[in-house]
Amino acid sequence: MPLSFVETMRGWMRDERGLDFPISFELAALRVERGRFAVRGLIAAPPLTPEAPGRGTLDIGVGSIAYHLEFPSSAGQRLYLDATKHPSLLAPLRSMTHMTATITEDSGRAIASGTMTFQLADLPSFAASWLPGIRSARLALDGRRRQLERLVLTGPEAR
Amino acid sequence: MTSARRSASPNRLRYAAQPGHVESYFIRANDPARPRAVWLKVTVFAPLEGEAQVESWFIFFDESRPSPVAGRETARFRAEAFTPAGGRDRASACRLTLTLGSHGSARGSVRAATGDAVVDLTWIPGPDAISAPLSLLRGRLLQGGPFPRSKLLTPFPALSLSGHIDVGNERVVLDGWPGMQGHNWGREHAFEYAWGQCLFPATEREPDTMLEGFTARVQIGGRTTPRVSCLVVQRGDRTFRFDRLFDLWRQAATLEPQRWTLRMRGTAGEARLEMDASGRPMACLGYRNPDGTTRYCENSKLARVRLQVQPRRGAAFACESAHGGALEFLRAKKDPRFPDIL
Repeated sequence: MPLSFVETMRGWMRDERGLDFPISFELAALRVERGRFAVRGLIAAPPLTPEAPGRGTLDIGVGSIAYHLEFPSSAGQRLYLDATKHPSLLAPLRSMTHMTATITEDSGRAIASGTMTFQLADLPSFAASWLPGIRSARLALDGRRRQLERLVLTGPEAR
Repeated sequence: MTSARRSASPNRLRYAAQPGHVESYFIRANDPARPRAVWLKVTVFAPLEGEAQVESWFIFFDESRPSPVAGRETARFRAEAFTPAGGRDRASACRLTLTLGSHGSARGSVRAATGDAVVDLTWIPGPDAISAPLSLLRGRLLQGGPFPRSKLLTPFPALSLSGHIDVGNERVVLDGWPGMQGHNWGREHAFEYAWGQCLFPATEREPDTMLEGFTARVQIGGRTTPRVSCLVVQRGDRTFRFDRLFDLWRQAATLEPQRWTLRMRGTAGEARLEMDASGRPMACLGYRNPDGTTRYCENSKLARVRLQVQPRRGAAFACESAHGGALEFLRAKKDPRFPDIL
């Protein structure tokens, strides 16, 4: 069975007008090849979007862990979240729990940037999600994601 | 109403015929489509010296008018005006009667500059999830003990009001306007506060949400406390409380002439609130204290509101209202921006 886990990260972003907004994602990651995971889950970045389905990749390389997620805005636009951690032995805890993040449009223009963090209080559930027999978190997340995908697809984009 | 039910009712009268008491019941409703709102209040005022009085208050806020239409009347206190009727609490002052409950009414009139403002309103509960009675003060000690000296309760945080009010030559029809009912009492008004409340209706993807909060300073032993803040957000069936009053390291508030901002952190997560009545109709009310001093309440019901929450568990969310925020500032000094005090 391929390696998998569920991870939640949260933070604050700042848009082009200088206004802050909260962001969070909860992702189920499934290893597809060495160093790469496919991720699917839920992302919330109001006012760009309330909780919405997102999907993308997580790449683990030497010195970096990079997330690339695609998600729909409430206006039906495609948006992308790119975020990277830079693990460091000099600051292991901070480097593994903090990452800078950017949201871009289809054109590549950055519309917001900020920081996301992994909260240590989530560590037990995160650690448990790696265990082969523990699938409840991923199943619950998949259920909510599918529900939202149906809702989003019946919205303006589908009409 | 049985005596047991009466003693448990959040709207039961706390005034015990002793000097040194202020108590008020208020209702507000906002037009969901346009920047208009109505606010009604009945007050019991018992000075340290002199006989107890009641007051009725009325304000109609309409951004299309040059200023709010406001009125106030005063009369002697009569205990029978506060006895329950038909199983519901009642608060009656001068010519205005509030029949309080989840299904209640406000009927009567209040003299205003434009002539009598006539009120004929009824209400029913709002969405279930956000309608449960709310106390910002957590715990029996704060709710019933000697501190703080002024108490607040929201028996009905979400109501739907219908009926009409007549203001001058205009009849304003309310058809399911969202609103709320509050109840405050104590030995005096607080030294200073900002208080806000707002309802955000559900959308296809988001549940009904309600917020209420304050930033306040009170006086203890002749000294004024630092600002302490509290915020409660009810979103669907989830409650986010940021109510550790003296956890000053996790709260930051700013009080500007017409704008209040709040940042709170706690076990529920992090919340950021901005309520702004700049450029919106605002009335200034003189609130008498039993000791003869006066506080000045700058009252708007049309504030812009922006709420952002990063919960400890669950997805981040944000709510905005263009003109649905009830925002009040209580100040120790009169602001020259308000030449007329109600």
